[in-house]
Amino acid sequence: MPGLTHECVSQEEEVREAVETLEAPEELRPRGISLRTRMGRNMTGVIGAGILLFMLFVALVGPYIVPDGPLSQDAPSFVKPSLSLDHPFGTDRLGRDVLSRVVSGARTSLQIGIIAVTIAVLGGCFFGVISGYFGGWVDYLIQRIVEVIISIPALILLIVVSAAVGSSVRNVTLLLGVMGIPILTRVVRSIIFSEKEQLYIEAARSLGATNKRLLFVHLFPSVIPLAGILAALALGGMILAEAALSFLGVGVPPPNPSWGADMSGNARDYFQHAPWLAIFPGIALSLTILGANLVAETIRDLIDPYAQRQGVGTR
Amino acid sequence: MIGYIIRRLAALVPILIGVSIIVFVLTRLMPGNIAQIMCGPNCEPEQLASLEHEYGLDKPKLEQFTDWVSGAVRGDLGRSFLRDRPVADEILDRLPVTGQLLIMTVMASAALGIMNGMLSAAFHRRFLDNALRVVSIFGMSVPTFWVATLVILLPSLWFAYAPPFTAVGLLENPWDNLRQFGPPALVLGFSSSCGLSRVVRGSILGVLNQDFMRTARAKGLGEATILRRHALGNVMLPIITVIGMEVATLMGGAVIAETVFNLNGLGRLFMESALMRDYPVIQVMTLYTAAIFVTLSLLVDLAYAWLDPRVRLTGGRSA
Repeated sequence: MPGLTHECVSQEEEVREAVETLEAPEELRPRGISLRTRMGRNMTGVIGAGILLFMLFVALVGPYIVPDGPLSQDAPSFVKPSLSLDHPFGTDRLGRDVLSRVVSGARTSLQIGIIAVTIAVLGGCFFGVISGYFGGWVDYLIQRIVEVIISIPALILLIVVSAAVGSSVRNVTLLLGVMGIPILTRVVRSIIFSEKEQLYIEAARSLGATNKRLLFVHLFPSVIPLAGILAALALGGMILAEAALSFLGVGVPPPNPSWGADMSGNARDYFQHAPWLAIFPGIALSLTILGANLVAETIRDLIDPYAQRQGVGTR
Repeated sequence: MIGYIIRRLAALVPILIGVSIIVFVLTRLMPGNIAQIMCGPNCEPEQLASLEHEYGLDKPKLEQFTDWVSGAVRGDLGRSFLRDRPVADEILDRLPVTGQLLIMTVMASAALGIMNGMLSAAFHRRFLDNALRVVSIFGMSVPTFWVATLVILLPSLWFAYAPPFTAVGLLENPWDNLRQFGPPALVLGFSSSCGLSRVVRGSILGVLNQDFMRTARAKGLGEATILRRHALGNVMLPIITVIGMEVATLMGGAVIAETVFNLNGLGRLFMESALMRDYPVIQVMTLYTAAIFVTLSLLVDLAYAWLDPRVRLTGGRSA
């Protein structure tokens, strides 16, 4: 799987460059078409956002529309998975309607993804700002902890922690969120390093602003746009990580509907006779991650000064 | 240079100590222990106590930690509770499987990634470029465990094909061995080549309009030669970084691929141990993975210095 870690490491550079460009005075910003026009032209982003919105709609409204609950069993199709007009996506080995489970799975997946991203970004901003602003031993301590955590490959650490805390929807959400904090701390810290040298901070300080005021009135608000960008970039990875953990049996526990878990364990014995068990959850999962990645891709393009220059005359 | 390597190696020590503490604490946080699992649901308290004593779980936590660390430093990695044999033996038994898988994966990933990235750059903003970029963003979005599942499922449905079920060594029967390792290596390799091809594309586009490229063109070299000889050499550094970091994430990928493709390697060992609370194995494997990861990033930094004379290595760490 595309790992959280290395993706984020390369993101650090990208985001820092991007934020610096956004903050550059008007005359120094790369010339080109305005952001809004380019957004409008960028079909990639529109498609991605469309997919995500559709999935969000399915997650919010879908469970009320589909014929059965994700857990209700249809007695005649019990044991023998079958495909019929009543069950267009088929039923699983317990006679549950796969369409209903896929739809409810959207809720599980997006709920975990969005909450986890929020936790990760808020935590990352908090520790990043503290670490970057205070420097000294606070920074040293936080950075050493971050270093230790990111030196364990993400999926390996997630499996160990997940096995340690036991799997439930709440635990998986918290776990993914907390494990996202260290790498985001690094990104935010590097931004704060340059931010705190800005003139307005010096001005505020010379007016007698306290640390508390500088932090809460000036520095935290200054990372809000960055936080939005980071959240968008991280969403796809979070959804993928949840699915992978659930697939391995240490994520969302049965009988909760989860795209990852529905393809794993005992269900695999039935794939040969009921391929729809593997196909539909996989399509839903891939589509959602694709949507998130397309949006992330567009944001990267929009904030990357380099992407603009590529348009003209490299060849 | 030597001084730099020594400083960097020294900086690894506190990191690995930190990792070992984290892993130890985590494994002790796990609800239930191996004694309870071995003892089963109808467990007598005395039986449980004697099992816990046998596994050394009744000792104070601090003593368990110091025992483990002092053992690990002396090369004694402890015994697996579950399999009742030294962890080192268990790991060595499975290493060839995961080793072969990872080597083949990295080869597939590098080949696909560099080829697609170069093609994309050469046909910048034309059809092939766009097509390859769509493929790469699809490849990054589709989970490996699903692709792997389909790679097993679809041929079995359509052609009633199944790879050989029992493990075969590469030297015993190369054909059967490749039928076992080829698909997982290709699935993992393709997935990680997607990130790589984007880096290759971006870096090549970055050097394409530099002066030395114009010179090469002026000399009358063909585009293909220019790309291969002049552009690729100049973008080796980011490529090496990405491949180096990939290996680390591939260890996570190995867990998934070995589970789906039923390969008896380190990934499976890790997963089984995590589910059965086999502490010694989890501790050692996590620590080793972290050690390999930090060593790889050190090697990547050194490769930079070696390949690019402009890089000067200073300072203790590249923060």
